Amino acid sequence: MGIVRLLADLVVLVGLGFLTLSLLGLVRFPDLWRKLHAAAIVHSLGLMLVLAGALGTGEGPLVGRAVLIIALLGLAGPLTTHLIAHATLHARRDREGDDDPPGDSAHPRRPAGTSSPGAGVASNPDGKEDDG
Amino acid sequence: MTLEALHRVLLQVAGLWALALVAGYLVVAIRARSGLERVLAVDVLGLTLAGFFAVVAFERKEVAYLDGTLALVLLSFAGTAAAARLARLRGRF
Repeated sequence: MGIVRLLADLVVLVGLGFLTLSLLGLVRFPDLWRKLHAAAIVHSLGLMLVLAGALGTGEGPLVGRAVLIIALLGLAGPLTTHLIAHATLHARRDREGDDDPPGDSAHPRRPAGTSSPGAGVASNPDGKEDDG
Repeated sequence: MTLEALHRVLLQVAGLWALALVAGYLVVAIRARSGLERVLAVDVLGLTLAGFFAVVAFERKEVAYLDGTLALVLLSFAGTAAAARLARLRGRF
């Protein structure tokens, strides 16, 4: 049992290492798109590893709650990342005009005929509000 | 040093480390260059605080701290979702 506890402690420390890497990414990366990766992917992994340290305690209520929180993180992490990325995309379009986000050139968001800069910036270019 | 003592020391180190991370994320949130970047930083700040509470829960073997962790994760998600939605509707934050 003692060895299992120590292994769980090591998992917690590795998770904290990932959280530190995420902090480093938030400080060092130049733009929000890259910071989203550090904040979403690496941070979720680190926090899940920290919570996995509950297995070392060997107590049912602690393990159950930790598993519940890990599941919640798996749901909430991608959702918040998507929401922030979506809001950033809209804010950027409103501010700068009509350009695609970096890395999105493989999936153009509108037909080629309507891609003049500034056209349809104020209104939704898709002609519909998917805001729900 | 017995395994039990080593276990306690490791968890206390982890707690201090998590607290230092919370301070680091707080600095990142304060120094953010745009509103949405600050939203992101506050989101991960809340989640890191949840991780600190989790470490405290493991160290003290107290379930109530994990309940606080759960509430913090939920609040962080709701707050970030609301802020991002507001920023999207207003075009800025």
